[in-house]
Amino acid sequence: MSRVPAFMALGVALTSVGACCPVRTGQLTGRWVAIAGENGQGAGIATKPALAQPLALTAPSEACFSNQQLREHFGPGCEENEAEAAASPDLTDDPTQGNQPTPGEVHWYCDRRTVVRVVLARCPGTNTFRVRQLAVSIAAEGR
Amino acid sequence: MTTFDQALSSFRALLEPDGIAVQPTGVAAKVVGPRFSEPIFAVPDVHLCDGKGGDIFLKGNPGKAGKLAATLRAIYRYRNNHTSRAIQLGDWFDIWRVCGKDPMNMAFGAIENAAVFTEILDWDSALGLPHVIGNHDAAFLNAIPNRRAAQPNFFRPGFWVGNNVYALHGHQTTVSPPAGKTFDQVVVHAATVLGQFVPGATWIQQFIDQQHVAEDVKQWLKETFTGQHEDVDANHRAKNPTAPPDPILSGDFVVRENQQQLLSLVAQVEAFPASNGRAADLVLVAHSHVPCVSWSRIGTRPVVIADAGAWTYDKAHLLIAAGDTVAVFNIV
Repeated sequence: MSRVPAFMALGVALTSVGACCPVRTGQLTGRWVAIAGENGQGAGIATKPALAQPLALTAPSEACFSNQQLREHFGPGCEENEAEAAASPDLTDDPTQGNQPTPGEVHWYCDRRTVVRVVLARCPGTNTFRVRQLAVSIAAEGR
Repeated sequence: MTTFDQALSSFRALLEPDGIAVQPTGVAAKVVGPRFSEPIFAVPDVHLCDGKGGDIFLKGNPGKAGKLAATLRAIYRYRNNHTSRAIQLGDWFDIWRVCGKDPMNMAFGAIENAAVFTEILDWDSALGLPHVIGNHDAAFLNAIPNRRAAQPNFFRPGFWVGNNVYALHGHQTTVSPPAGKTFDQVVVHAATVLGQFVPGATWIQQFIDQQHVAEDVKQWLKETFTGQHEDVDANHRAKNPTAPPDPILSGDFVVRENQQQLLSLVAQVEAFPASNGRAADLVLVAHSHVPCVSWSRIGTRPVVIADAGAWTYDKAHLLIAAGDTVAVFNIV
């Protein structure tokens, strides 16, 4: 699976936009964003975009954040998303012994035109995560 | 070797700061010798719904979520310091109730999105808690929760829990076999699904279709693993008046519904190469929501069947097995 090559930012612009609603202005300044790209990962309040450069966060940015924070800022995920495939099953392992924290999680967000898959990696020894990858699909109108 | 009393005492100490007590239900069995060398924690049916009014886990009490989260956190902390095992015995989500009475519906985002469950799902993820797949969360056969998507192998119809304990939900005996066939004639096919299916590797319907069995058996398997199931009436189980055979020492034994069929399933799973010669002394089930212990035999080998109860409505049960004892507790 390829990493997203370019800088990407995902803000609360994911809020549902219905046909009856006023046109939304594209703005990330001052919003909580999760970012991943060639300059690294982070989450926090976005500074003003400048000179077509990667978006910066106001200090201190949070490298690791909780699911509670994610929910507070991004709201609920998709009601339904495609199932993730598994590697070939290994029936000889033993998941019951000892703590085996998930190495990462996936979150899906949907609105009328946009589907976002966010892959998180666990920050070791904690219940917090950092962004590993953002993947965005935006449907063209009428498709 | 951790004794039962040591495991219980340590676990109680982890919940005391939260003001939560671990009280006996009276459902317990004792066997000769330390059969359970590593303490086992088994969480029975939970039935997380959408956190709203019809949620049979919360039953209008958001504090119930905190109690389950604290219990999972205590298991996590216990396991940080002691070799031990944990399992959840199925019906973790109640997809049937949330998704239009269809247990195979994969649109269960409403359960994952319920804010009141965030901490529960945090600890589920931190534990890497293995989940037996039940009849109310049968959709996990095709799609596991997003927060656990990296661990499809932790969701299965049945699990070995160490060398001598097997766990399954217990609903696999409730659908009548195809006409003209007995349960014993088709049990190996159900055991194949129990012992060999892993979500995400293929679809459950495809897995069943690829079995070399008659069409009526395929249909029975689909109904057994993906269909709706009537709840059992578990409140009127008869006491078992027969003294248990060695090595079972004592217990408040009842005659559990379908207990011999459950053990027939486990006997078939034992024979699979992936079982590596393991043989069950204890079978963990749930599904009925009423805790109990019973015993029967696989061949001549006595086996205890322990039903761990549920977290639905006012219930909050936890099964602990360690040393020579298996017992179900109320978390209050």
